[in-house]
Amino acid sequence: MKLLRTRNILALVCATYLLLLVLSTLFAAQITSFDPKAMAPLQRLQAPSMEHWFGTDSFGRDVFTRTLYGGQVSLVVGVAVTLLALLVGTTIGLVSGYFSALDKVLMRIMDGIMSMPGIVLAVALMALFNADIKTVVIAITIPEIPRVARLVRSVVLTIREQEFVQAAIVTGCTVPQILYRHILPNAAGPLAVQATFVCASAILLEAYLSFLGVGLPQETPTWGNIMSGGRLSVQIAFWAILYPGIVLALTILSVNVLGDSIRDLFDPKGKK
Amino acid sequence: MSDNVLEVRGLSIAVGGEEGDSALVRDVNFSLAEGKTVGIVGESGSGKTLTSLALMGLLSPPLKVTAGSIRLAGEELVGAPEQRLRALRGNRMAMVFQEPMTSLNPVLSIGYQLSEALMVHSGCSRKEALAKAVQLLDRVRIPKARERLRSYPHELSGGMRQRVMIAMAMMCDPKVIVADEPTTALDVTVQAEVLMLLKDLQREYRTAVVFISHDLGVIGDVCDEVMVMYRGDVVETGAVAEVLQRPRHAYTAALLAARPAFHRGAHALRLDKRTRLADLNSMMEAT
Amino acid sequence: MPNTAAMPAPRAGAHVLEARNLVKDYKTQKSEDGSKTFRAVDGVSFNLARGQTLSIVGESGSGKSTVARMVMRLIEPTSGQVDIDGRDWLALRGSALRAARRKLQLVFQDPYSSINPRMKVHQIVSEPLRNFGLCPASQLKDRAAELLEKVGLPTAALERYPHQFSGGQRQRIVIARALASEPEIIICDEAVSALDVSIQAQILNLLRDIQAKTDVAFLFISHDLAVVQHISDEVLVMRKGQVVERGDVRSLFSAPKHEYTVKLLDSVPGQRVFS
Repeated sequence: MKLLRTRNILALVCATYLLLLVLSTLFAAQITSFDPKAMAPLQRLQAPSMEHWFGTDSFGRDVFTRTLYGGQVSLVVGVAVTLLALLVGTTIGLVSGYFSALDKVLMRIMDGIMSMPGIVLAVALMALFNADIKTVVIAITIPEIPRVARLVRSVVLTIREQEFVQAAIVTGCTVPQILYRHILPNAAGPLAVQATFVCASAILLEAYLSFLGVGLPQETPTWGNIMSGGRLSVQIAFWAILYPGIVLALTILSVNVLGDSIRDLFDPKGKK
Repeated sequence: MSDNVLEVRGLSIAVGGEEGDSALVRDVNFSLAEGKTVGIVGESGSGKTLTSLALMGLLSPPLKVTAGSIRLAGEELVGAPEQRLRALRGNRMAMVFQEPMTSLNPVLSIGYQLSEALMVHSGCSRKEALAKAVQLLDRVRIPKARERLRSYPHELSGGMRQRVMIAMAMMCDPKVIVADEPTTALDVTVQAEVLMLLKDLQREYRTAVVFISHDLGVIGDVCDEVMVMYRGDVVETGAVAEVLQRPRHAYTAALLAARPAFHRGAHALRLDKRTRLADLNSMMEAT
Repeated sequence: MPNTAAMPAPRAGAHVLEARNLVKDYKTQKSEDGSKTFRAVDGVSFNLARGQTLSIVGESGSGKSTVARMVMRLIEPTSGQVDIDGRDWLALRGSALRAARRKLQLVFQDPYSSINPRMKVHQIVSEPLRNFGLCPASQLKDRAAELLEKVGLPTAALERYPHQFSGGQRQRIVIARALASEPEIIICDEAVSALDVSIQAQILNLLRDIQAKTDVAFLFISHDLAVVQHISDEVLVMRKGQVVERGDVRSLFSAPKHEYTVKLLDSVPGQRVFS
């Protein structure tokens, strides 16, 4: 892998950024001394300065601090949704691809889920239950499942016809053994790539939910509701929306670039 | 001698700037007269397909001809501009490939594909080209030729597709046809018919044929002369009966000995199942 | 562990495999006589004796591969009977079928797609042992090494991946895997068709040696008459789903009776130069 190629430099930069992000959100309490939830009305809507790097919001809270703590939520949601969507989606995809009788039923359900815009579905689900982090994760996972399921299903359909799967049957493999030992490893590459895209999508979806006010409660900082809180005062205090927005955009971008790099890595023919 | 339709001297093929021993094909020499067939036989890695591609000017970079000359009716092809090669391909020289499934465009009708080459090279109209196409389809014994013009490749069997490929190659009355394993993918009875067809066409049109194959039996049936290739070198050349019945090089002998022999009649009664086939690799290492 | 009580001991001298009236129909949209089914195999019967090689020869569309796959139960016959060691093979289902599969293994045509590219050679070769419970996990690699030795591959191959080997070597890996469960029958479906002549010769010799040592029966599917003549004891000629002629190899090649057999034999190239 030639490290100095443009694409790889970009991937390294993005990976570094994400690493820094993760570290700073983990050590948020060590980095900033402000309390993300404490309100200080006397310091409201102050421009960015040496004391408040991203300025303060309409309640006087330090935006930089809230962005860091917000990162915790966004990253937790991103990772949790990815893992859950991978688990459920892969299972559905494997079963659907291998057993054509179940395929028809499962794919119609997937089609049904996909026919609704993710954000609409998530909002609807949030409306049904309490607004806590568990619900947010589930609400965001459900629209992401069909993508994963369809991907795994298409891999299964291709691999199923390969002779080594027939050989597996002939050498006495049970169906779970065939799926797990022979078919799944061939899906690993595309799945890894898809996982990063699911992660980016999940973070974005969470931001949408929070921005719309149907995500986590306002006091718990998430990138979405920081921006939501700054909406009304954007004309005099743009920093409350701009800086968290930039962080959100950079994060999504980095995850997507990493996804592309992983895809290139897994390309067996190494087309460069 | 100077009437040879194809003269190849010292042809060498390599990747990029490699020279000498690391070349993929080294020093190929042969002459081909009108109406004659020369066979190139070898296993995978022998260089026979590369040689056939070089003849047609179809080597894709980084592969290239690093030495030697290829003369088609006196005209030098090595180093000729791509424009000239394009004018010759399909026109003076045509190629028939192995896989009839993929060498015909699945979305274009047979008639369109047949007439295309003639129209491009001779500038005649679609109508004239189609008329010739019908003639050739008849000649390659495809029934209901006129209706077949409208068919698509997937509607034809493998044998018929290969006949169409041969017809396509013949459209512009080429001087040389390069056939790379043209019957390998066909059933044995269909192969026999297609080979017989090729011989008939050759007799009638006086076309010279370069026939590449791994099958010594096919070479024996079809060719007048044969070149045996092994790992890029030509190890033996000569009249086909001579080479196949009285081989002089160890590799040719080993290749012949590795074939399971085919016997009929009384000879078939005396076969012993316990005979072993020659192990070519150990024979080659021993020499 | 396989349920050995369910499998009766093989009767010495009896046929190891008996197939009777195998039929396979496929549903189609349209066919020549207007019916909605296409009969790929139309009443094929044959017997395979222990330690012998029966070849099924035919061109494309003859149904020979379909017969092989039906015997392997990769596809289910529409009707017919198959007995292995005197026991009804087609009646087996589920785990009984899976356990009984150890007796019947398959060597495929394409050495590039019949082994999992992501598994190491020792895993590929020892998989039957694992699945059929024939060997404790600690000994799997040793048994794999023994199997590689039988097919002439070095022990260094154990840790490698398939893409590091040539076509002929990969076919040896496939054969080693087929031998793992010590089957009574090995079906070779165009097993040497994709190989160079010199490699084909090595593999044919290898198959011969294996048969001499283990008394395994081969059902050999091929379109190549010279190869068939070389290794068979008995030959079945198929055309369009039916058996047109059968006989022991010597009489079939010296005095074929059916006109299609004659046509096939006439079509073998090289008779002008090599007779």
